[in-house]
Amino acid sequence: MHLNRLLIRRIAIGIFLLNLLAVTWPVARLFRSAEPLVFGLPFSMAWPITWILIGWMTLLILDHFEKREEDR
Amino acid sequence: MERWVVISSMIVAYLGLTLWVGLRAGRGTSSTVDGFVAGDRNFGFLVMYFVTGATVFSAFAFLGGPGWAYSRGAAAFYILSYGVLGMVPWYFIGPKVARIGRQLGQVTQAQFLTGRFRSRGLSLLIALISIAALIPYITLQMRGAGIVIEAVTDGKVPLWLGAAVAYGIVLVYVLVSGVSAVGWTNTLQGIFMIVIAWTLGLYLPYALYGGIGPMFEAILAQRPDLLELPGLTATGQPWSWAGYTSAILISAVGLTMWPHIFMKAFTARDERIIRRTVVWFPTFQLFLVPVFLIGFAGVLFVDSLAQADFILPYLILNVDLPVIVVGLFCAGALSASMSTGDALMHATASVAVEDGVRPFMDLDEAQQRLLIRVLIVAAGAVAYYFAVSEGVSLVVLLLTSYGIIAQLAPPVVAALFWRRATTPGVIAGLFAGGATALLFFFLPDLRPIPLHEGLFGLLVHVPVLVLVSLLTPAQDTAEIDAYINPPKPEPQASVQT
Repeated sequence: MHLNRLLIRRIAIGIFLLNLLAVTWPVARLFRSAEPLVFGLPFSMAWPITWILIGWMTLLILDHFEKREEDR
Repeated sequence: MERWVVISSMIVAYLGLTLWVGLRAGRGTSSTVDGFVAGDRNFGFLVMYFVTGATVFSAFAFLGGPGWAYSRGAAAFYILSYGVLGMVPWYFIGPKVARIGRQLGQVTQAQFLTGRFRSRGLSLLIALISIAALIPYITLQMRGAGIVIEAVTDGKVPLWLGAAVAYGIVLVYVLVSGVSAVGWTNTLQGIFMIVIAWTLGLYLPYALYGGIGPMFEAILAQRPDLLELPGLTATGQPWSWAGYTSAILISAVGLTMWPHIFMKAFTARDERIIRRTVVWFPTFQLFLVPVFLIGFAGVLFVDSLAQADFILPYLILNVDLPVIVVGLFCAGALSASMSTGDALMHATASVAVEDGVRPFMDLDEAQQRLLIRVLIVAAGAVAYYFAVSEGVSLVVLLLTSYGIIAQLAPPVVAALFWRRATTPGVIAGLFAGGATALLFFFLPDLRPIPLHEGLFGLLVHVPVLVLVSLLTPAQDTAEIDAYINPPKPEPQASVQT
């Protein structure tokens, strides 16, 4: 089970590193445009909001496994 | 009845409610330093969630956020981007800090660091850095409160009086109830902030443009450059990617290093609560979405406002909104200001006494608590002086202090994860990093690329920390073990929720 927890942690950290890359130069250059509108919001705004939601999901999943480990 | 009388009455009612909550908050807490500074380490999840969220989002977010969206467009999205990234390391670090703090009886950041790197000089250095960074931050909050009250009362209540009344109330509840007042008032204020921001953020685009989509279509048609990353600078020129990216990086590194946020690790009842707080923090981060919508609503409606930070009060007053909406806005802005200001004042005084005075002077518990209270008043007075005097560019000061505060990150990481780190290494790193950040702040033209000066500080800081540590004798292994792995404390029966 310890391996499992370590794996989940690594994946989570990997996702947050992706997050960092996605919202900073140079990757963010690819997502700088205001169009198309996404749910009425400019694409350049919807992009970081998407990453907030991904971050939240990642934390929920990570915490689920960490908690199970702590309870044992 | 005149509009400003109705609005003023709503403000008074709101302030009264806050005062009542703040005074009630301290009743279950012991009258010890542990109780006053760390709430007897008994904060539950709900309070921790709102303390973290409401403290992070200050008057700067509520007034500055719309101001940025209005004048600098997509540049504001850097604030959306760094919050979660800045909070995630706390998921791993926060619980360790809390456990060590509980075991060794720490209540401040400097105590945490000097527990590993024993040096009174280091303690004093951190205290000075913290206070220098916190005072301009408090000043900003006070000005924010004063500006809002002055604007919505048509100047009947001037800035100096509005700031004095709002912060007089903060002073009373913090002095009486300590950090418990900060916790419970932030819960109330956090709920206010979120509800009001979402209400206004959805209402204004509909009232002015007929919806969020139509609003952005209209802006795209007239100002297409505004919504493209990385947005504009304050003077309307295109912002550089280096500036945008380094603003994200330095803010993410600095976020949890602010003393008033770091110290809240010592208030949590257990480590689980800190983790859950981090997990749910992104929901608070989304509060920025309506805040930016408010600012964008002003783009085509208001022609070049001299001071962009006034966009929110300006819109509120000139769009002919129902008086209750104006009153609510005011309560939201005051919530944002006061929920950060109270934590800042409390942290400033606690740090000054615990880290600046106590290592050099024997004080008993009663003297410590008295001195902290005296210094809360002093910190408030100094910040108030700056708040009512014109001419100091505080936003600039605040951004600079982020660069300095971020220099506390390498020592924290070293204390927890690098056994070979030594006290001289940490002190040398802090000096080198801080000096570099200050140098490039005062002489920005010397920067090889236009990155935030705090990043240059870190680039110098880390190698110096590593090098000096390796060149000085290693710490005693048993000493490090006692610090990094303190035995898990017995689970305490919780007394109250």
